Amino acid sequence: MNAPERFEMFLLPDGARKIEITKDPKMPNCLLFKIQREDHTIANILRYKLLKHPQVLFSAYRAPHPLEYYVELKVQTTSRTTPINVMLEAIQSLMLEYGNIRSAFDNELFRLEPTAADGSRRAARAPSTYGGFGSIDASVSEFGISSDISSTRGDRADDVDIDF
Amino acid sequence: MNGSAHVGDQNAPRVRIRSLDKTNVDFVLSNTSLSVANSLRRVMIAEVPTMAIDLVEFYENTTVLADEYIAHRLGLIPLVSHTVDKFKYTRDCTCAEYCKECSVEFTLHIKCTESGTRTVYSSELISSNKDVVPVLETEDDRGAILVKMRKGQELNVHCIAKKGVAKEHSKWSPCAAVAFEYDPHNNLRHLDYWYEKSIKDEWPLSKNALEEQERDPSAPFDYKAEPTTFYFNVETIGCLDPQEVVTKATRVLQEKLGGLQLALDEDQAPDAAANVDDGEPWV
Ligand SMILES: [Zn+2]
Repeated sequence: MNAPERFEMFLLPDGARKIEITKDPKMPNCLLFKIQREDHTIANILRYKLLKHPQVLFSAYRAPHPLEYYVELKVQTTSRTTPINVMLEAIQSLMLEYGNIRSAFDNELFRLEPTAADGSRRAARAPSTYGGFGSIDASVSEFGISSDISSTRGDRADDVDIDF
Repeated sequence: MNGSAHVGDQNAPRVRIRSLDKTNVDFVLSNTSLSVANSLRRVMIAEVPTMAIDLVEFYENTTVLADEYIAHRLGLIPLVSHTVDKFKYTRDCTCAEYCKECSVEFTLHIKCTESGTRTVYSSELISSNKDVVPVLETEDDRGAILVKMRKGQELNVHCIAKKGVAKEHSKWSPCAAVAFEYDPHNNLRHLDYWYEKSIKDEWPLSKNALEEQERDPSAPFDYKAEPTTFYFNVETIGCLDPQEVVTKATRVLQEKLGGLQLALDEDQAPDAAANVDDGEPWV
């Protein structure tokens, strides 16, 4: 009844700031980033990336309450840089990393099915005559580990009959 | 944002796809961190947008199932969502309620006139958009059963499918399951197995254990070791291809990071407040 709307989890309210930054009163060169409408997905990767930074002395996050949709990330650096700078570096580095993962994944798709992984395949997809699927149907046998999982598929939930 | 120049670097993440079919992609992600691999898993499950029925208007329902029950079943029907990127979220759209920019209409009008049982399938939904239709596995697949009727019963509904993410409701999840494993031999001791007599006898190894060596039990424990190799199996419900889910998840993560970067840049230059994030995709 008084449950918050589900979209509150990811929709930034009008006028709210995505990130609120406050100075830590007790630690030098330390900021607390209050990141609205984010969760462990973002906070954990930032925390980890920051810890790998040579100028970062402290980095940790918390999600204070499951019904309050923000995370707090505390970052302390040496005096040679600032928490905001290392945050920007961490963000850049992570964006590059996900780009690299996607490129590596696309290369693998290309290896599996050279004609299908040129990046334009989704746009070029012809509408399928039937509702679902179509497109890539890669043979997996040549890669050693055959797909024993997929071979047992075909009994998905839409076969479930309603039992009156 | 494209980091392709760095692929091939010693430190760049590596991917090896072990199998790929219509609903599953099994791959090994290596040279990255647990937090990155886990964020990918979380986003594939909950933040890759798809289309799903979100509003249902009932004109007639004389079946044995209540309106709410049928509306819920309609919401859970997987819809082919390869064109989801062409749609706006209704909340970002300029229309008052819904329009073709942000939604797809479905109609279903079935009346049972025969004496036997009339089974209504998801394939009987008539879509206003040829690219967004109920997922069917084969050409003769009739889809999921919505309701069964007896003679004289009737169902007449008008449905609106919208773009959404599973964070709001799991009906928008493209994934049936995402299998995720690392360190199959438990070399890092992240797991503390419960056992009666022997861990080895009571906890069988997964097939991923073939890919890694077991740590020499006599060697001193490496407390600084971190996991670097992650085994995924992404199983979809058919609304997106499994490989599409993986690539879209990397984009969603980049968009999220881009939003943070923008927010930090604004904070650095308070005068640039005019440049407000309107929630549009960033990349
Ligand atoms: Zn609209």
